[in-house]
Amino acid sequence: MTADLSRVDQWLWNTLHNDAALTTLVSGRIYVDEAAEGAAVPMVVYAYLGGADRLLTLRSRLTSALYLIRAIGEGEGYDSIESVADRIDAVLMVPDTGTIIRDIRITSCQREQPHQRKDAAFGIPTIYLGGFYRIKYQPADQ
Amino acid sequence: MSITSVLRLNKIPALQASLNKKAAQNVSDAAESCAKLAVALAPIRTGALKASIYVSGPGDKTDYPEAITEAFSLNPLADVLDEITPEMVDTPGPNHPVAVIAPSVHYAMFQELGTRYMAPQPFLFPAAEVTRAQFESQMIHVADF
Repeated sequence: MTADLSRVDQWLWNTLHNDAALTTLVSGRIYVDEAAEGAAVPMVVYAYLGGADRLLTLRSRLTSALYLIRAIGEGEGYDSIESVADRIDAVLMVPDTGTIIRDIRITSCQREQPHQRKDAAFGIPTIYLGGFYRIKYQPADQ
Repeated sequence: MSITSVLRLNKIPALQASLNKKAAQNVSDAAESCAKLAVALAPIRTGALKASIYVSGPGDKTDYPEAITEAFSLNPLADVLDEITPEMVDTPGPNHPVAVIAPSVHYAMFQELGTRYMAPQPFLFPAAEVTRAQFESQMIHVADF
């Protein structure tokens, strides 16, 4: 199995899109990697940044994947996207028994580092608020 | 009945000296390895981003001057960032060896994390993830005699 990261992508997509409170806050604007040019704010964008496999035995492994998941808005302060970032964090919960998605078990999803940034695109101040989330998973049959 | 124990051989001072030296070497090796991987993964247009990646530490060693010189020669429009040195990093104690791996051009952040309309093209995070696993494995043996 080499494409198991796609299952994590799917879990994230389902989890974020299936939360009515979050989708209401951003009017459904939840994107993987990037939003379409001109898409309105506020929005949620998430992206995979990197990861590593840890071999547990010769035939089992635990993968640790790092995602940047953040709310994006416009303006000087973070107030306009604070509730969105709060909801992202609340929604990304995994029960102690893990969550099965297709043929993998996601064992944990925890924020490892908060993220906050400002920059400007074409003179428009852009704000980012969210976190780096560590998602650990393994094949479901291990 | 009393029991007396006599310490005839004390290897603790030698272990301590060996620990610090090995830890510093492991940090240095991991930093070089991480930087090489980051360079390999960095996206290319002018090559300045790759060239700008430097290692600062442990101690006073750094290749920041060479990195910014080469980066600027490849992309004179790039803003060069100040060096991040080991002294700027919070550590649990005064004798912990530290090395910093960083790019020195201002647009590195946009490549690494993306923007709302541009997908990330991470090169530091993937390098750090792989290096972390190797580094942890090496540090397990840092106290071996």
